[in-house]
Amino acid sequence: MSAPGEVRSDPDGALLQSVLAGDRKAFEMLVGRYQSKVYRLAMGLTHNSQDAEEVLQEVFFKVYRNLAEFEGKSAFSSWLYRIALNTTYMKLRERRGTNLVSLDDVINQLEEQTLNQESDWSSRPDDQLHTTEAMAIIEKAVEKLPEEFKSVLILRDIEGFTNEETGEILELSVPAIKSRLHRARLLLRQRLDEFYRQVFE
Amino acid sequence: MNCKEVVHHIHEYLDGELLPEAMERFERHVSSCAACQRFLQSYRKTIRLFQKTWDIDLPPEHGRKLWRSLERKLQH
Repeated sequence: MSAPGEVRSDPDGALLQSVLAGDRKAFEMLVGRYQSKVYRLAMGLTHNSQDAEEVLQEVFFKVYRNLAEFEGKSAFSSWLYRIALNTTYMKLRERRGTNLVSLDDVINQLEEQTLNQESDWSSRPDDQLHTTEAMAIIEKAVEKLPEEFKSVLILRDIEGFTNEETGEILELSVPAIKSRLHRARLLLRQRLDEFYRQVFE
Repeated sequence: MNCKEVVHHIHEYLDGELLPEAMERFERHVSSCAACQRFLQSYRKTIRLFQKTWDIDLPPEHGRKLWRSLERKLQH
């Protein structure tokens, strides 16, 4: 780790120091603090509880093994999420190979998007919109997103990180985060729009 | 502001990142444009529906299993 001051300012700093000093109980607390978040991330991306469980174990094992190399330049949680995302994507590649659309395809699809005067699904109550089929449409659309779009969407809209924090985790600039987030949301909106138009026609 | 610009800036509007003048132009256009009102609402609902697909909890037995397995690994 680098300057002790930087580590102390991290909300996990004290716990990290104890883990590094060999305190197993502190590591258990650290795992307890983040295990649900890592599981949600892995499960949301793999849709497979066995894969998610394996990712969970691999992530915390990597964290323990590599903690001494964590320099404290970013928050510990950012470092952990970076490991969690990389480990999950690695698992997905092992299981399914890479089956992702290119960045260009996504951008082209979005440029064709226009404001649709006809579709009025958004004024319908949530119970009409929140259907199993609609959820499946979203999951499929997310699955097809390029990894860097998917990561931004998850970190911002699910985990609630700010643009700056998301940029830190993914090592991308804030404008790049904002643009990916917006495009990913537009793509999901477009898929839902197509789906609901068929349903409510 | 026109419809295209509304689509372009909608995420910044929702994050409260537009400067006061741009915010006012955004809101002025949306209040008089039914298509943009629907677009704004559908964009918001898309985020909400996406969040619902991630309503995932760690089963308690997975948590216990994780720690047991980590403890085993760490002893080696």
